[in-house]
Amino acid sequence: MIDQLLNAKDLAKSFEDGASTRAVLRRISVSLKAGETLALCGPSGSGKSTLLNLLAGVIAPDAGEVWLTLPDGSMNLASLSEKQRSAVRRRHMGYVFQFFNLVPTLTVRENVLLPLELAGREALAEEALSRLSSLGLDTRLNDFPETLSGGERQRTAIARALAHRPLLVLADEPTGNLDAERSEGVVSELWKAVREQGCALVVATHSEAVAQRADRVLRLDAPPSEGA
Amino acid sequence: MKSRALLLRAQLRFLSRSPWSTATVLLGVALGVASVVAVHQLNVRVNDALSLATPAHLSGVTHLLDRGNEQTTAEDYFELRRRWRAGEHPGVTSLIPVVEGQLLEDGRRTRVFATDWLAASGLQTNEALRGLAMVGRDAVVADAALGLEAGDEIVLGGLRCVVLATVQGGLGSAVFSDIGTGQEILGRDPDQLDYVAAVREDPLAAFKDVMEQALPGSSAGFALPETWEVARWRVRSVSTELPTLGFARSILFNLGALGTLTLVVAWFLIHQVAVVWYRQRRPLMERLHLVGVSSALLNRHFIFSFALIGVVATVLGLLLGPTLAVWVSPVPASDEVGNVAPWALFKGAASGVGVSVLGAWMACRPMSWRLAPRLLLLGMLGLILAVGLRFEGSGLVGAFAAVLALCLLGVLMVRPLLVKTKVRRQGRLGSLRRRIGLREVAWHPAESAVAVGALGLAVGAGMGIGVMVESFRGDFVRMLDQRLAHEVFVTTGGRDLVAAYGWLAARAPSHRGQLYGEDRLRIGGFAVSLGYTDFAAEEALRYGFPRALDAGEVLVSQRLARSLGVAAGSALRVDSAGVASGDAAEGRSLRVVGEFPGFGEPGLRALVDTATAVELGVPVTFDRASLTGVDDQLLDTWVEAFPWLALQSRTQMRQRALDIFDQTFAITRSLTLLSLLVAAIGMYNALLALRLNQVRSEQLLQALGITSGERRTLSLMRALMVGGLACAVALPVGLGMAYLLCEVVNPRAFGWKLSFAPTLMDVAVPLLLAVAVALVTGLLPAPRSELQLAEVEGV
Repeated sequence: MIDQLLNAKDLAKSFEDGASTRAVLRRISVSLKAGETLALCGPSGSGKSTLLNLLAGVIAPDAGEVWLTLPDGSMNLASLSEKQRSAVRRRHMGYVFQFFNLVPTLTVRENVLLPLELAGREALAEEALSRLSSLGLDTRLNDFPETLSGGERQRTAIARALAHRPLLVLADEPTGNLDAERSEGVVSELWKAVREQGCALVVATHSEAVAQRADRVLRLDAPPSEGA
Repeated sequence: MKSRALLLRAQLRFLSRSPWSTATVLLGVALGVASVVAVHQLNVRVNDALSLATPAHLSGVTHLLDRGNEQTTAEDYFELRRRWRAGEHPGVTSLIPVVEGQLLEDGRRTRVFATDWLAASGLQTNEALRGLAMVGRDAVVADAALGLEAGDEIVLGGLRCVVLATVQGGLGSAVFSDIGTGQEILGRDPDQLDYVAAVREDPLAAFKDVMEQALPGSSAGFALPETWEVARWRVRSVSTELPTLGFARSILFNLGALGTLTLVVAWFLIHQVAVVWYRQRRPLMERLHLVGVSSALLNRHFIFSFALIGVVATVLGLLLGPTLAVWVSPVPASDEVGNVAPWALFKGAASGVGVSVLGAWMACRPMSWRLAPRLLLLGMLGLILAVGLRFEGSGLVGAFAAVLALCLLGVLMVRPLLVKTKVRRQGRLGSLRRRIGLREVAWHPAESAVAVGALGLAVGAGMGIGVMVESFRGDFVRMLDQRLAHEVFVTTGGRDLVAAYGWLAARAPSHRGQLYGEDRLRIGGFAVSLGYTDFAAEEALRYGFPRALDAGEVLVSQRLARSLGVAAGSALRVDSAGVASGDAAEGRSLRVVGEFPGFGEPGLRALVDTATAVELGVPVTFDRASLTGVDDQLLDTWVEAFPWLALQSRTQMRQRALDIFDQTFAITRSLTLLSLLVAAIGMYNALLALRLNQVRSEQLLQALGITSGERRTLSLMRALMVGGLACAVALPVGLGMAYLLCEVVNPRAFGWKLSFAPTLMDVAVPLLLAVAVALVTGLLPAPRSELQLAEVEGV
């Protein structure tokens, strides 16, 4: 078991907005152990999604480092090329979004098998499909996302995020578009799957109920804007 | 009121916030307008050039009347005229007596056309003759081929005549004179006429005038006025006398039809661009609708903003069109580049502004694609195709309606094809990444249908026209190789070659030579060009006939066979009335033994052995020859001895013929490339719309670890899928169009069939071009500003 999985230090990110620059994150540090769960809370615009994207290496920080300790060694995501960051993501990370979680042109079964194909771990297909069954989706395997309910889409997204046995799952408002009852169901299933697989979870949420399930909570405040 | 202004501002700001889309839409519509204007200008120019080819004596004439096997006399003419004055022939506005013949003097053959100049003066459409004083005694108008100028003198039949003017009559060595002068030149009895030319009102004249203005050349597709019966007279349409006119008008009609096709394709593309743009803007409009703005108001604002693009694009297109016409035209411009015909302006404006507004309006009201109306539409198009294909009576209009129906059927195939692709979702498509790229096209049929339809139609039309031109070229080259068997060709400008040839033959005993002569006959009421030579087996083989021609045997051009309804084995009765070859031929029968294509010979043509020509009473002279086995030095000496000889090598003639052919059809290639460019712009817009639809999906793929390189590969696959589907549409449309052009349009317009023989290259090159266009448009980057806008709208 790897003890320290993630160590992000002094992360900063700002975006160009016409003639001005808007700072979204300033000197944020996060650390996470294997199997640990962390909730990111804060108002809209506080940078929760940006922080998730930085931790996943989808975008590069303006300053700071994102260290990952993986079975094949430690690496600073911020210093890797886009191609190397993609390789890390496809092998070691799972992602769940609030919307647009599934590739619309792939069936439920194909969506779950996609990370296995990307990671070259097709041998895990049977396990991934059995998780779909345990999530109650065994009758929807050949359906396209457009025919699924919101809850079914999120459960499929959870199955896909865990299919290739990632070390870290990142979830961005996974229950944001669901009613309270379905929210509870999806969150329970996410937590259950993460616990079973022993991976770490970082979840960005507005929901206090979701935050309370996490081992730790990191609260972000909206930074004041500054001129260019 | 203020809220409405804000709403309109929100819609208009979309134009500046998505500058790349705006620019490509603007360019697409502008090029569509420019091509409409260019084709119209081009057709007007060709029309003007062809009107000059109408012989002066038949300008404006619709029918020719003669007494059949009896001599037509002045008394007959005055009797006919008396009855006409008495109201027996309603609709006839003019009757003009004509004397026609040819002179053979000093070995030079000159054709003489004489009319009552006063009777014909009101009909003159030839610019060179308009306003010219009546041609009196001892005065002629000369064809430019004679090399004379106004004020020169020429001696004809012993009569010294002054040349009043020259015209491009298209009849070779010919003069036009008053009737008395003509009779004197030809040594005819003052009572003897050849025929009477008549002008009969066309009941469709007003309609044809409007059609001709709107779509130059289109009126040639309508039949000439119905058959007109006059007791004791034989009535023929002027086109039987002037097949060149019919040929020229057929070319014009083909260009006009090509122009109409361009117009329809341009309208289709403009509408499809509006559809894509509407879909791009729909998220914004839906949001505004949610806050209480009515759909009607949103649609009005959308139409207004698209119309704004249409106005700017129309101005650009109108400025670009005339330059484009000069660029693609093989016909030299007689007017200034900026001088645009009013109808071209109207058509350009209607296409740019009118179709933009209509297209945007239709985009707001997506057609319900129910089975019943779809089947009805498909059935109607199928019926038009079948009627145009099977019923020859539908003429060129029916043939081109079939071509348009085929194109529309091709375009209508696209959406069901995409839906079918989507339904077959479990098909084997390889890796999941490949499935994503390929399926995205089927998942957004509205955008994809634009790209596939536009590219498929442009490539299909290009393939169809290309296969037709290449089939034509193949036949033409075969004909050249077959007939240009000798090394050197000799022409004399109408002089008799016999003495000069004798001089050469005495000095080059081992050479091989063939002499050719030409006369005119009337067969079955048609003026026929009669070629004669020593038709030994080798010469006959050049026309595809396997043995020597015997006495009384004739080879006929396909056009003549079609006009007379004869085939090998039929008998042709020669009717020589009114032609210079003399009465000896009258009533003689010739046996048809074969047909030849007669490429480039718009007239009716028959070929016989010289012995047969002599039997027909033709005054045999030879004005052309072909030679093999004469050394260059002797040829030089020959030309020095006989300076009126003109020599051309086989290579020169072959190259010249091919140059003329390629020049004539260069316009089709230019227009094909233009439509491909417009289609590429439409396709880029559609692919951009697809890409913008996929912004969120691409973010998800990025989060899953798909690299930017792999995402580019997905874009390429998407483009390749579009290219592949466009090929699937283009292949049947292109081959079908080529078949219609070779087997249906060409025989109806020109009188001969082309060998429909598409080669692998003819088919493969346009398809590869489609894939290349798809790849290039797929590789073009999506502008960052619009990706950001789509990202914001997707939230």
